[in-house]
Amino acid sequence: MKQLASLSMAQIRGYFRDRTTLFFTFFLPLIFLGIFGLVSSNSNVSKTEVGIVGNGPLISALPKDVLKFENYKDEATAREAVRKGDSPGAFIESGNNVTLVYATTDATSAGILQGIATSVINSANLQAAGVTSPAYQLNATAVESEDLKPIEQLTPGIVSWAIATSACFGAALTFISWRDKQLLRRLRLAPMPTFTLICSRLAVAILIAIIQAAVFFAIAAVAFDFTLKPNILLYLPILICGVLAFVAIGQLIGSIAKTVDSGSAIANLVVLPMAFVCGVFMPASMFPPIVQTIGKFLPLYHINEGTIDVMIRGEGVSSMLNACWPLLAFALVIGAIATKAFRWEK
Amino acid sequence: MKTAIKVADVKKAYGNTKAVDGISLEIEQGEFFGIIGPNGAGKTTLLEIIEGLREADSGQVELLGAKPWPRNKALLPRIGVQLQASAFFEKLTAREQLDSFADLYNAPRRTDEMLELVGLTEKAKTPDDKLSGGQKQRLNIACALVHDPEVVFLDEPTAALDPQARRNLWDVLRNIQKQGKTIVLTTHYLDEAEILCDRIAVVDKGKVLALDAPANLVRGLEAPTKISLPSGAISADEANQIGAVETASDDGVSVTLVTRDSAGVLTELSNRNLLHGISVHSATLEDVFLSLTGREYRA
Repeated sequence: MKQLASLSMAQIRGYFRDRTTLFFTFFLPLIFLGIFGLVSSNSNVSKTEVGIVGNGPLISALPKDVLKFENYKDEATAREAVRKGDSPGAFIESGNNVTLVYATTDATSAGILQGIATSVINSANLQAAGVTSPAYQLNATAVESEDLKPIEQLTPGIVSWAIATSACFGAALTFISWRDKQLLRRLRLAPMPTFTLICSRLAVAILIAIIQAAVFFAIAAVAFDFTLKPNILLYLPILICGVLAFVAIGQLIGSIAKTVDSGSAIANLVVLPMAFVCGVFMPASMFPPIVQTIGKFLPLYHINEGTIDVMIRGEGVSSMLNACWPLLAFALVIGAIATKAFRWEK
Repeated sequence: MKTAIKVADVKKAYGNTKAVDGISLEIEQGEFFGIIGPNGAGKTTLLEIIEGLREADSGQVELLGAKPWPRNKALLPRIGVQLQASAFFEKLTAREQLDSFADLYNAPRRTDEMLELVGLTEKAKTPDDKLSGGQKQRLNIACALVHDPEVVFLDEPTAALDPQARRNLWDVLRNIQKQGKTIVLTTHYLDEAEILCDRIAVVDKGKVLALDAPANLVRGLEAPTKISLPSGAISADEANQIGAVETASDDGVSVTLVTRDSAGVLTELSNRNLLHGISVHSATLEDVFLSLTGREYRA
């Protein structure tokens, strides 16, 4: 116990005294959270921009809640703006006609603009024809969606990614640098079981992960508009199982790589693509089905899904278990391989 | 005196290289034992086999009456090892390093005592990366001693240190021996082995070439002594007249007399009142190495 405490304490002290590690553990994920958070909160309320020329009845009838107007003095300037890509399209009113010019590069916006223009002109035609009660009518009602806001998807994603990165890099680089400077050898000369060495790394990694999760969730909840439904008792097991899985990966990398540089290169090569495939930075539903299937076999996917389930959706024990089992299985398999591959000496 | 270490016909090869090629030796408890030889002589491999960090291909090793390989957890607290690299925890102060290592051995913390022994009391709060090379090496040795082992292994503790730092470290090593510990030291500095060690083994290409007290090794050579006087104090011809002088030469800086009877020559020079500015060079371990291998010693 004294050995475990001493070894863990030595690592924690070293960790919190190293500015570079602190940057990658806390500030880089925060910067990501800030950037992605701002981008997504912007796109959430985004209106389609459109250029307008003239202010007759048709232009005035355009809906202001979905469009953002940019006034141009004549048709030529409006066309030029569309051509340069400043506006996705422009409405030019001349008498009873409205001309829509649109950029071919932005098909979605063009579609929206065409739809809006058609409906405005149709209702103007109906009015002109004196129709007060049309035969066909559209009834639209809003429904509370299960779908998450981008920021609610993003925050657990970045927290999960940050935790996975720290656990993996921490384990890999510690073992490599300790082997490199013969500290592993020196520890082997102390009457201490190998198990204690691994446990101390796990203890340190879990502690760091808990601090990361607390800091990131707190900041995100304050800075962005979303409600956490945090259940810490359910989240903790997911966090711990996730750390186990990524410490195992880190340990394996630490056994394979010979230098700190190659170790961090391999760790990047493993964690970064995994982060994308597992839908950490953007929802996995945007990817082709094969990629989504691959993601489900990777640990980061389960940390992320579990975190969203218990921290955002407020789901219960079964969601927690759904995330923990795959993570534990992954940790056991990789951990066993890593233990086989472990080397004390260069 | 009891035997601390017994090595019998130990061999270890890496591919075609015979790092240790049939070495046998015994080290007494309380002895300061030196293993000297040039780089690549097999010193470190031999040490690692004795410490239990490596398995010998063949032969027997007994350390404090037990086998060090496979890893023997009962034996580990009784030995202290200073490895060639300074194996410290990142970003920890000298005090924290010593505390950590004491805890890893479940030993009482003797941090202040250790810092004083190696002369680092004032550096207690300095992190490892802010220590000089000599200070690091002393802390490294303190970390090897913190659990109060019976046998201490020091692998080239003075390598890459400046002369002043080396001499400081020698004082530390002498103090450790005074505490009654057995010390096994490897070095490629022959002068160091001559000054510090009770007995030394001269190792080259994985074999022990000679094993004895340094003075005995040098004496066994029966090498001539060189006596130098300031040039012009005596002419070379005149010096050759002295019975015991084998050769005499004057290079313009000093006159050098070569003799196997230095007492006789010194008496004769004293009679002529020529002892002012005189210096006497007897054979050193370098000469021993030269005569054993037939080549110049290169560290």
